[in-house]
Amino acid sequence: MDILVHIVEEEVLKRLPAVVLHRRVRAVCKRWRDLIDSPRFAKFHSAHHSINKPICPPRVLGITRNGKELYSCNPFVAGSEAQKDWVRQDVYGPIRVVKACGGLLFGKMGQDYVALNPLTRALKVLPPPPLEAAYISPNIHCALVLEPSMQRYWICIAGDIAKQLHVYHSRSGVWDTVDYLPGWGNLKYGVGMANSNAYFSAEHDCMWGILSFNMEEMRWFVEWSSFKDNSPIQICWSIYKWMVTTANQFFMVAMVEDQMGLIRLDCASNGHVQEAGCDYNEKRYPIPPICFYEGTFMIPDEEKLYFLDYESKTWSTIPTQNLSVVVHLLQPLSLEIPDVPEQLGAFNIYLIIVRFKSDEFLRAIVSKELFVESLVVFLPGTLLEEEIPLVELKLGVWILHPNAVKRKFSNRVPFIADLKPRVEDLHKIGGTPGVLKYLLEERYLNGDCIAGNFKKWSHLAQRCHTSTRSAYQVDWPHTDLSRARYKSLVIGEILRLRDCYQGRRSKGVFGGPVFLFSTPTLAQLEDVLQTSLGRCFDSSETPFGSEVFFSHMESRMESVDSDVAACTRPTGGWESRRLRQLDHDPWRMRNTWDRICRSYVTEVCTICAAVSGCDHRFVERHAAVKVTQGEIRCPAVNCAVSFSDEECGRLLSEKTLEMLAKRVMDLSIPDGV
Amino acid sequence: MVKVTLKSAEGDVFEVDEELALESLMVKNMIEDVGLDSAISLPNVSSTILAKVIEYIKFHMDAQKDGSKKTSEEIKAFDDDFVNVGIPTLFEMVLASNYLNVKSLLSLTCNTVANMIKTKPPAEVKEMFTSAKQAKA
Repeated sequence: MDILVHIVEEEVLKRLPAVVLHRRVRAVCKRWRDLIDSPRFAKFHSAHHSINKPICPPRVLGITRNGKELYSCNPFVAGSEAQKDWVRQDVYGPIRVVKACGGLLFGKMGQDYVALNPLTRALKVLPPPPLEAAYISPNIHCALVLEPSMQRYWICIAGDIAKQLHVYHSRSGVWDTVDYLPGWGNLKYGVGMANSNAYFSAEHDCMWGILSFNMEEMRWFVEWSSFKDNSPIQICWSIYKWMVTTANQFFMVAMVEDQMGLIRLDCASNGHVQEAGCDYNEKRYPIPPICFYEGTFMIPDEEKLYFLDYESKTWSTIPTQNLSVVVHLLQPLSLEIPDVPEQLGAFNIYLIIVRFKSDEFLRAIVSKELFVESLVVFLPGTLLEEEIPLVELKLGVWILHPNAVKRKFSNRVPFIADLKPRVEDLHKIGGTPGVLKYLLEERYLNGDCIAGNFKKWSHLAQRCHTSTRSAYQVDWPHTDLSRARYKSLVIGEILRLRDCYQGRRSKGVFGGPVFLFSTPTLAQLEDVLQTSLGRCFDSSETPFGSEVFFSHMESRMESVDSDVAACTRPTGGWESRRLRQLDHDPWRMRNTWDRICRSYVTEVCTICAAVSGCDHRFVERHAAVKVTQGEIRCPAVNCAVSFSDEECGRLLSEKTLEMLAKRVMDLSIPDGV
Repeated sequence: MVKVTLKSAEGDVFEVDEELALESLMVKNMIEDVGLDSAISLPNVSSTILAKVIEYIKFHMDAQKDGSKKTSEEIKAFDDDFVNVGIPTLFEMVLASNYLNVKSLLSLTCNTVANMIKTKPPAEVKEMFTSAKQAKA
């Protein structure tokens, strides 16, 4: 038997996807929990998965000058000429590519900076990079870096004024800063490689040099340096040039009239070799960037793509069919950006979460029959970041949207509870797509679902059939859905509210009601919530129990419409404001302090249940929290907090909740197999 | 054709082609050590399981031979059918393929177990292993 368990641990677990491991298998027994948490296993697991990925030769990507179209061809695949044809890659819209690394592009679509995998068409909109206005040119100062396993990427931008490198990490989802190596400055010509390193050419007081920055170790390294008086370098450094690297060799490419100057920087001797015989005879100027792959330089100009074999110094060309391309190398790979499904026809989308920038497409999408049986939360872009958790809590739904990872609960919002797992947890199990997948597997959701952003949805909308029904009069098949897991609630112009129904939640966080906000002003939102709240109050089927749900909403609503400044004050703040409101609002008077306290308890349990994946009742029994007069106790984490009236809102800090959730999760894991 | 004699846990004797027996790295090592004269005893493998393992190797060897008309669909159908057994038998096959060191069979059975775990909640996964343990004991 021990042998069997051993074989299963060695052979079976590594075949499972990370989502299953972390959300399900981890909870089988303590032994497996420890195994899966161990770094050794993580390495073993990722090694297995990376070995099984085939490594293809890169494609060359051509982008027309205006960025409207992407083309790719396969010059490195041996075979017929047909493979050197340019094949159009369908992407969502015009993209201005800034950098490419591996199979990933970093570029600009409209006003947004995006990461795009053109081969899988996966797209991620990045938070706006901290560009220092005119002093940074993305083409020169940026670098896109990939991890060797190609599961993570970084984007870094050199900010010369503050002498700081801005780094965006795909796992953390935020821009961070790192100081330059002391003494060095003027970082330019960033090149990222799939080895977690970014390379920049840089200047010291009396030196030229190539610096590398390792993203995983967060460490600078001087790859190559030379004193300034060396002449060819001088020319090369001061005129137009491009840096090409293979991680251990660096080439500076400079164009001097009709000559292509190619200088190899020798890392071992810190010297440089000026390569001869690289006459560039054409009358046209090359278009950067210049790429390098397995001993071949690729230099595009307006008509042709030139290949220069470095060993033999021979030239070959393929025509670019007047595309006027900029080339980037592309390695087919799948990054953690969610994919767009190929076939929409067979879809039943039960949870659609979109954050729109305008409701233009809202109209287009909602009228589609495609989305009829969907659980929809549309968040038009006018909704503030702080309002999202509000809506989430109130509706009992979970909103995943592109900015979810960077969203933080600041002290602007009195923090009570976050129904979501922590950001790290989210990443650990594979990010938003991972969560969605898990939810599907757990049957929290029926059918397929997509996490999307504006671009993706606009794209989907274009593919859908048109319909005459207006967005605001959606016929929602209530009867059908009532038999399904979810009771749904659609509000078009908030007219259908009386038909709405707060569904019972059979399992977990999902299955709450659905709201469709056509015009999401806060006043209307409040109106909606209060009305549905009133219904909840009468119903015994609310997810939190009627009273608790009530105060839930109460507190969250307060957090948004109260004055921001008042909330940031260390004492006083929103609780006392709320009391004042309670006084003059008879409806709210039903809420007593006792209920408020109990809502905290329930919230904690809900969070624990959500984070740990345990049964709600289990949490209540084992972990949670007892409220006595003026005190909340969490026996599981041995923590007791006494509170005064004013402090009530800050009772359960983020830290406590995390501890509690972790503790509950571990409590629920049985002993060994 | 040289024959190899394999002896299962129950003492049943299986006579198979040498080529077939060599697919198992464990048997291969045994043959190198003790030669072909004596029967190779496999005390960890029961007769039923050994018969299944031999059936599997035989099918795949035939399928790989030149002139084999078996399509990849047929092979996949055979594999699916082959692992479509009860959990206790499947576990025994995992153990046997590990013991006999038959790489392809091990990966087939392990993938099957992995797929089972994938669709089961933790409690059921635990149940699966506990019942297998009891059956063994």
